[in-house]
Amino acid sequence: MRHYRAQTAFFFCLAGLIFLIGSVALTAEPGRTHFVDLDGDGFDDNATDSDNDGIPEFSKQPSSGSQVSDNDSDFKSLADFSLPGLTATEETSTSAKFKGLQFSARSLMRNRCSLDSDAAFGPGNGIGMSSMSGGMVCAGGVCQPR
Amino acid sequence: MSTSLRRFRKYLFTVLLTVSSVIFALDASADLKVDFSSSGGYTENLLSDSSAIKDSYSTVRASINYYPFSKLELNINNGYTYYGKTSDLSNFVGGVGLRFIPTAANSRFSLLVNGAFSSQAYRDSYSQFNTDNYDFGLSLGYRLFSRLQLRSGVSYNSLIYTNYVGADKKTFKLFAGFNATLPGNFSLDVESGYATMGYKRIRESIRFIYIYNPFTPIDSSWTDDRLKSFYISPRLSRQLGAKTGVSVMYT
Repeated sequence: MRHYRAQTAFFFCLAGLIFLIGSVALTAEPGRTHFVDLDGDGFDDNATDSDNDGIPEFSKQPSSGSQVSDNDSDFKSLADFSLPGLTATEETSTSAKFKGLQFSARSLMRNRCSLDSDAAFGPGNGIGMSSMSGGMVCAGGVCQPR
Repeated sequence: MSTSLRRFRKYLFTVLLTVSSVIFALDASADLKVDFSSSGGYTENLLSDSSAIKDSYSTVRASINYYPFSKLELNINNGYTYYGKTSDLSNFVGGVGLRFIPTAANSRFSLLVNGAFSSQAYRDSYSQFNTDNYDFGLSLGYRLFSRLQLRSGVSYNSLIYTNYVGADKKTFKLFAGFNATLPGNFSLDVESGYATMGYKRIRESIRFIYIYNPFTPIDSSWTDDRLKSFYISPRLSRQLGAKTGVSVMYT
């Protein structure tokens, strides 16, 4: 009986996934920048936030960072390590290019995977320097073991 | 590590930051961003426990981000926090890190590699809290359609107490998920992951701990253990306006 229920649940999950992918694929218009909300805050995460104030510049859309196309040009640029030049401008500087890459990888910078008791599996518990205080109780900049 | 070297480590990142600043200042073509900040405050409970220690604190930080080429960011940072009454808790935090994104900005496939090392050093009377922290992460993403993105990643963290035995932790995380935008600007984000942490805990047979010095390292009191976590976390959210949204998450 339990085996039958597991099979039924698996079937429904698979059907739901196929329905989901199908509906998303049918409604996607190639070449158009769609609304995407990666963190559930209601903001369009395809909109750029050039001043890093947490609020995207909706009036300046579409920006270079939001050019999401389905063309695959991907692996060609794996070896494109262009060095900064003396004539680098704000737009062509390596830091500006890196910022563009960061935008393309923005969905990778957050996950809900954490073992901290106060983390509540919320966003922002990602990899990197933010986990410096892992396993510690911190307040006012001071940390101590739990 | 020798005692003199341990004493020096709190100044290591200050020296690194200064040397880097001088080198980069001499190189007119270097693409770098320098950031200085200071902050202060007062807390009613410094340690978030029953001690309820009230104290003021002030922090100064400096960091340099350097971009040797467009796919790599290097970072050196250093900070010092000073506490008014409990000045022995004052501490240095310094670190180095990198982020590497080898894929193109308009690529379906994205890859992020990051690594960091940081060190926190307190004054001698609290030096048992000194830590070294190592981070490594690798994340992959693939845009199946413009409204459906897949992601997966691993991360590893090692927290080492340099002057204390028994509180070190090694954490490994693995996660995978997808984000889909449904008709009506509904967003469905499903993530599943597994995390495991190796740590030391006090044996069940130990009934009493000397309360005035609970951190005294007695090797026989400790045993290795492992905490494991598996989760599936679906989240459904919807845009209410251009700058407002609502989300429901269940884990």
